[in-house]
Amino acid sequence: MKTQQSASRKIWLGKTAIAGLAAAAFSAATVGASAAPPPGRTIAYAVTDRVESTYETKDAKEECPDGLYAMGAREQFADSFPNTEGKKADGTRWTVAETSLARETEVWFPNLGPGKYPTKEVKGKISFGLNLDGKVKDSDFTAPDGTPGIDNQFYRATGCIESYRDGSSQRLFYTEFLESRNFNRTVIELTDVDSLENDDDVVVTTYRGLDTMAKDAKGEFAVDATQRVDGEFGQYFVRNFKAKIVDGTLISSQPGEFVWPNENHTDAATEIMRDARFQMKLTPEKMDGIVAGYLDVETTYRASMKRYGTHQASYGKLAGGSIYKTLRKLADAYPDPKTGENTAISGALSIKGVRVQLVHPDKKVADVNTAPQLKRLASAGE
Amino acid sequence: MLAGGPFGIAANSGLAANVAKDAGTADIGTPKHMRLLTLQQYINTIQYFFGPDIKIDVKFAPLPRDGGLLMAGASVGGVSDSQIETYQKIANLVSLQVVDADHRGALFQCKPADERAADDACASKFLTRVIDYLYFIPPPKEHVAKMVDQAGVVANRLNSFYSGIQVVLESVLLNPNVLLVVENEEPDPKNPGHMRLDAASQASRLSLFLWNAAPDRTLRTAASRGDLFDNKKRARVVDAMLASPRLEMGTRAFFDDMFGLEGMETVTKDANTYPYFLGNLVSDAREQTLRTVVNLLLTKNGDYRDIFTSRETFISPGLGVLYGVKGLPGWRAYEFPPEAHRAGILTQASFLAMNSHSTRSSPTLRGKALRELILCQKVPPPPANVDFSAVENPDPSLKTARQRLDLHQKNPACAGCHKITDPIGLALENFDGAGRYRDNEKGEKIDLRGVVDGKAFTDIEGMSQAIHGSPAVPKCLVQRAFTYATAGVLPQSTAPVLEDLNKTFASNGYRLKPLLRAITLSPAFSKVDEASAAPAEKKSASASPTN
Repeated sequence: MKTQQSASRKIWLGKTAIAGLAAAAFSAATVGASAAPPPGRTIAYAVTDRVESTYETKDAKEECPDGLYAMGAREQFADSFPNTEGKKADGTRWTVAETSLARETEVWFPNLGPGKYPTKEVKGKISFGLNLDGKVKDSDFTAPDGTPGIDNQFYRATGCIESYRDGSSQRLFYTEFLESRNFNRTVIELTDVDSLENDDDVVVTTYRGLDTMAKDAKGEFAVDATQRVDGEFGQYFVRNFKAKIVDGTLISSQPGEFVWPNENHTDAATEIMRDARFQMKLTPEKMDGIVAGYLDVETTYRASMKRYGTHQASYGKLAGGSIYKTLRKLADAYPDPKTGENTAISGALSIKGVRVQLVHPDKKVADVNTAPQLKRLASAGE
Repeated sequence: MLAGGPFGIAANSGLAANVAKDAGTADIGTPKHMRLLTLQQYINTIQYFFGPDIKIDVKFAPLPRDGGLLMAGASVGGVSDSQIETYQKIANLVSLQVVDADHRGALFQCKPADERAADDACASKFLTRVIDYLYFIPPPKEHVAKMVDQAGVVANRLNSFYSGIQVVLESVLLNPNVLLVVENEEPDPKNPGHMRLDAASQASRLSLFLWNAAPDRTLRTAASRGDLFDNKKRARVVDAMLASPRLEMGTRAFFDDMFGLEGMETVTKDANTYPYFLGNLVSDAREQTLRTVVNLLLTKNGDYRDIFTSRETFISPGLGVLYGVKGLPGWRAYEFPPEAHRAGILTQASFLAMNSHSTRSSPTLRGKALRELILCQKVPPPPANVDFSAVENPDPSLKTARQRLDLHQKNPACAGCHKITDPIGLALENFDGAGRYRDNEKGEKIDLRGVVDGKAFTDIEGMSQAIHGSPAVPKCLVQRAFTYATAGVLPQSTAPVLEDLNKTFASNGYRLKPLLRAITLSPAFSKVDEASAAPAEKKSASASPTN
């Protein structure tokens, strides 16, 4: 069975079959797009689901023919420090600095040297994602619908690691915290919308919301719950994009930087996606699709390590020092001007959202380098 | 706060005298009653005296609705054993909070010489003040002394002054003189041969009507001075009460009762049919209607009829989901745009959801409620052998409620009542059973045509205007308000009083405060109906015309 990667909310994600580049399919609960403009020619969706787009087949046979990666942090530790009652071969005792702290140091100060435990990379040919560079290369994947040129090296790096696959405890936490931590509240607003079916020019603005997601009587995210824009501490997340709507699908016409808030157990982090673009199916109540772009390796890696301590990561066979080397190895964009080494890796996120009533702050906010958006913030208050 | 203040009062200061001088109504009285304190009256009374942080998280047994009002039912309801238990539980909870370490410092005007022993002086000071306030009828002096003695016995036995007070306070809160409002009569010296409510009873009537709480010290003092028997002084007392922020509590309680909003407590909606009917809507919808009423009638000093047409209201986050509008944390003022098709409280979630079924709207229930609650008309109950299958298991080809209800019109057994309810209820079919707007049912455009009191309309706004213009609407309010004020179904003899009040209401632009003033200053408010006066006292009054 080939399914779009999902987390705990299988009603939402598990039954959806995003057709890669072509378009996102509707979930059963959604209704058709509307030719009529939304009220005020504006509509906003709060992101309710967000996971890495991981193409999975039964028992991972197609994408990981050699099996999933088995050397997580716990296994690496056991292999590095076999149980010899705490003693080295010469009889002296291991110290904490030589063992646990050394391992943690690898997580937070990763290096690109040769690793003892290289991760397994995806060997399959199919992946979700978008053609980011407009080329069809040997390293590219093909979308499930046959579209070639899919850039998703993040999937190649992580698709054989349990943490990034459906049903893992990390996915469960990730989805849970996306809902429960207000820091993670990403809201995508569309303005200048003449029709949710076809419109050749709409403005997409991302914000961070302030409010907890309301649930309806069925336990699903409530349509039309109110979200207040965080106009003060959320300015960093405000970004503008140009896009068009084609047959009910929002398609970017101008890529841009997308900053994702990412708070989990204890720490808040952000992930930066460069040249991000949308492929989102829209309905008057929901959105469903993917956001693809080049994930900044450093922020993405650190956000990932922050959201899972070594303890949690171990359950999904995730080892920080190892995955960092793979991400850097497969990074395919944004070379460092000094070293020439790529700093970003192509990837895609599966996104779902529900319509919210967005309230912009009515007070003037300070100018920063995202001035166009902030002018909207300052003038759109009610 | 009431932004309006005692508006309009000065301009109508001669109102009481006019009403009193009306030869046609001066001799008309209303029945005296013994009634139960409602839960909210009890809470308001306790919290006014002991502070709003005294928690009373208990429900009283529901009251029967009589003459369209629960308040009237309070005069006919009984007290069951379980209700006594409830009262005891509340009394215990309240008394424990009053004497606890967090409250005693603020609520006691003295400190015992020794917290581990009785202190009669301090106990007397505290209990005298409490009993003076809580008892509707002043007790004999020895009553307080007895309470002090009992507090001392308990304090010495438990080695705790405050435990002694707590036990006695619990018994005070259980006293019938606290839980029951007994109206007493006395001969009226200005009107020989007639009876009037005594001063304490008049104070209770005034306070429970206007403030929904027991009289405060100022009112009790005025009553004990005899101010309520003097027309001018009485008017000053009433004006002060109308200008008090506490009028909002009384207004909320009255309209909550008149509109049957307690029904929201039992509203349930099928989650699959109405997923957007969130749990907090049950309380939020009720609160929305009360805020709308208070804002229009008190804060803005508006025309009562406008509550059926005004698009001004208040929104909470939960209501925002239902209405599809922005709902900030807490409550915010909001005006529906014309295209929302919401005009007046009949288009608010409380009325719409309360008068619907759990899975579908009900033009019949809505029409019935509108007739009974807003127009004071009586709709007969359905016959016992009514066949609901046509509505509950309808022909699938009948898409709209109008099509399904047309079947009733063809059945003579049903048509009589449904002709009264359905045309008016069908005008609200643009709102589903939860109160969300819709323009079609199962793909079929909804037809809103209807007639109210001979006025035809084609849309919700037209129906709202028809209600606004109906003479029955203000008359119904007058009748309900006077019934509520006197806490009992009105005898036929009060019809002329109602007529006077209707004229007063109309001449004051259908504003609420002048109506409340006219009611409380009318002779009928304080005069006891001859039929309910005690025979012996009547005889005594007749024999002592110079009293």
